[in-house]
Amino acid sequence: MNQTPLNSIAVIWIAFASIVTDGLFVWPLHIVTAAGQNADIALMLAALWGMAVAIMNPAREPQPGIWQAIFRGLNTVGVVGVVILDAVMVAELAGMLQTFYYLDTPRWALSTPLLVVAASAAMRRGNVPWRVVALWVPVLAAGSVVILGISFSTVHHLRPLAPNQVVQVMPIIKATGVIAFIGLSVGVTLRMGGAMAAKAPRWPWRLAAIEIPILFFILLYVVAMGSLGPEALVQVRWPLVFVLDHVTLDSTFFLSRIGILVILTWTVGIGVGLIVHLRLTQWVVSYRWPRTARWTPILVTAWWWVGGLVITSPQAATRLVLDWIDPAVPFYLGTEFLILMASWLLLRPNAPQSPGTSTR
Amino acid sequence: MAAMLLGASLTGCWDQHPVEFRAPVAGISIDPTSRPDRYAFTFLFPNVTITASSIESIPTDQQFYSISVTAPTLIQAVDDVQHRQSRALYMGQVRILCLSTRLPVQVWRSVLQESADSGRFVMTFWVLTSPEARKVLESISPSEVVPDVALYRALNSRVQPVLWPGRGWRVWEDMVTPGISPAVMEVHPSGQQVALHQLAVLGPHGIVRWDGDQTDGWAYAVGRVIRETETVRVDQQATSVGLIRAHTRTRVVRTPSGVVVQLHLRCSGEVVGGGVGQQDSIAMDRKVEERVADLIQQKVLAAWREAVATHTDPMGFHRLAHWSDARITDNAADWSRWTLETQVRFALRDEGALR
Repeated sequence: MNQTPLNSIAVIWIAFASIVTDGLFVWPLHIVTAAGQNADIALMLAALWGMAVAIMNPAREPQPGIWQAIFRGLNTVGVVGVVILDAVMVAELAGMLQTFYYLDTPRWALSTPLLVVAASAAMRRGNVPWRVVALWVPVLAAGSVVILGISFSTVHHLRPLAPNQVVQVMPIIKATGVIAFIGLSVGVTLRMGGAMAAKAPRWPWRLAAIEIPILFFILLYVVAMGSLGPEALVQVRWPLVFVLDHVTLDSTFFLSRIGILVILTWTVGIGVGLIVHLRLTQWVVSYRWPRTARWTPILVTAWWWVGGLVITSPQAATRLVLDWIDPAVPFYLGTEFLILMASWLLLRPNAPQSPGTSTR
Repeated sequence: MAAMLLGASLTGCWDQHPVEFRAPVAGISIDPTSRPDRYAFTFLFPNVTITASSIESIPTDQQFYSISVTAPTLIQAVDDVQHRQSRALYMGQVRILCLSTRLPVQVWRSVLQESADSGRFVMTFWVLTSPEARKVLESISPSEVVPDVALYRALNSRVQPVLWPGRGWRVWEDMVTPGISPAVMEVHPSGQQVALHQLAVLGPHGIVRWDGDQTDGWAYAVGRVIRETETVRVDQQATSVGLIRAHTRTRVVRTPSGVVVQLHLRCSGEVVGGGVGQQDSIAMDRKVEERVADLIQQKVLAAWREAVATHTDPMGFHRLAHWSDARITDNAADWSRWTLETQVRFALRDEGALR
C-alpha cells in the first residue's frame, strides 16, 4: 500500500479513536456494579496500566528477528481480539440507537450504512483514512467535551467521586477486570502508530496518546457517577444516555435537549474508530499477505455485520463482553505487559532505529 | 452509495412520527379512587388545533384539554388514554406529574419507577403533590399560553427564592438511593393560580408535610437558598433582609458516641426594608446580622427536629454519611445516636436599596 508517513499528532488522534470506540459501552454501569463508589480506584489502576504500556511500547517495529516475530504474533492476537470486540460494540451501538431514537427500525438497518461507510473509507489508498481520522476525531472530541461540560450542571454528588473510607480489595480487582476489554486496542494501536509515523513517536507523545482517552473516560465517569450516585447508577441500563438525556437547556430559545446531539457524536465517533480498526487488520494481514491486505476490510465488516445479526440484544452483547471477553483478555494483556517489559529492558540501550526499517 | 444508504435508513423515512400525528402530554395527575387497587389518572394535552394567530383570542380554558381514566398502573393508564386518542401519545414533553398526597407511598414509587423503566418518558418533568392532584393540573394559569405550563416554568427558571426539589429523574434517583427521603413541593390551587407551598417528604409510611419554617430550614441545610427574604425585629422595629444566598458545607463524622452532622452555613443578604436605614450604624448592622443568623439556625433546627420526629431525611445526611464511611447506616429512618452541630454566619452583603 502506498503510505505517506504520519506525524505524532495524527498518531494521538488515531489512538483516541481506536481506544474510545471500544470503551463507550458496558463499563460505566458494570464497574460500579462491581466496586460501588470505589470504582474510581479501579479506573485509576487501569489508567496506570495504560500509561505503563504506552511508555514501554517500542517506538518502532523492531528489526527483523526474534523480537519482530514476537511483536507480530502479539499484534495479530491483539487485532483478532479487537475485531471480535468490535462486533459486540456495533451490536451495542445499534441497540442504543434503536432503544432511544429509532424504535421501529431494525438494528441491521442502523448498522449496515455505518459499516459500509467505514469499510469504503478504510479501503481508500494511502493516507485518505488517516486524514478522515485526523479531521473528525478532534471535532468529535471537542463536541463531546462541550456536551459533557454542559452536562456538568447535573453533577450534584461530589462525595461518591472520592473513594469510601472503607476500601475492599476484591471488588476493586473485579471492577478492574470489567474494564480489561478496553485495554485490548491500546498497545496494538500505539504500535501501528509507531510503524506508520514519519518520526518514531517518543514516549511523551505515546503517553499523551493514552492520556487523552483516559481523561475522556474519567470525564464520562464523573458525569455518570456525579449525577446519579453509585446506587442509582446501577439501576439504569444506559447510565450515560440517561444522564445526558436529562440535561435541559430550558432557558435557551430553541434547543431544549442537548442529549440528542449525543447520537451524532457517538455514531460518527464509532464509525471513525472502526476505520482505524480496519486499518489495524490490514496492517497485520500485510505481514504475510501484503497484496490481499487491501481487501480485508470487506471480510472484517462482513463479520461485524453478521455479529450484529447474531447478537440479538444489547444485553446479550454486554454478557458477551463480561462473561467471555473480559475473562480472556487478561491473558493477552499479561503476556503483552511481560513482552513489553522485556523488550523495554533489553532493546532500549540499542541505538535508535532508522525510520526506513519500518515494514510498510 | 453510502450516502444513499444513510439517507434511506437514518433520516426516518420508514420510522416517521410527524408532529401532527402526535399528542404530546403536558401533564399527568394521579388521585386515589374508592377502590384501593385503581387510581384516577388525568392526562393534560395542549390543544394543537390552536394556531399562532388564534392564540390571543382563545380563552385560557380552551388552550388545553384533558382525558381521564381509571387504571391500576401508569403504563396501563397510558394505554387506556391512547384508546381514546386519535394521535400517538408522546411522553417526551411531560412538564408536570402531580400525585395526590393521599396516595400510598408504594404508588409514588411504582409510578416513578415505571416512568424511568418504560423508556417513553423523558424525566425532566417536575413531580408535585397536592391533596387534589387533578385540580392542580386543570388550573391553567392565564399568564402562560399553550403549550407552556406555568408551574413548570416557575420551578425551572430560578425565579423562586429556593431551588425547590422535584425534578423527575432526581426524585427517582433519591427514591432508589438509600439514605435519603425523596421530597417534592406541595401546591395549593386557588382559582386559576397555583401556589408552591411546602415540602412533602416521602416517609416510610406515607407523605409527611413539613411546615413553612421547616421547609425553609431544609433549604438552608441543603444549600438551595438563592434569594430568600427574612424579617427580624431589631430594637422593636421589623427589618427585612432580602436576596439571601446560602452556601452550605456539610460533613458527617463518625465518633465513638455516634454520628455527628457538621453544618457550616455561610449566608449573605441585603437590607431591603425596615427601620435600620434611618440609623446608619455599624452596631445596628451587626445586630441585624446576629438576628438573621439566629433565625436561620432556628429554622435549620426545626427541620432537624422534624426529620428526627418523622423518621425521614430529605437532607440526605444518611446518604452522605454512607458515601463517606460505609460503616454508617444508610437507613434514613434511623436517627438514634445522631447529633447536629451547626454554625451559621450571616453577613450583610452591601448597602440595601433603602440606603
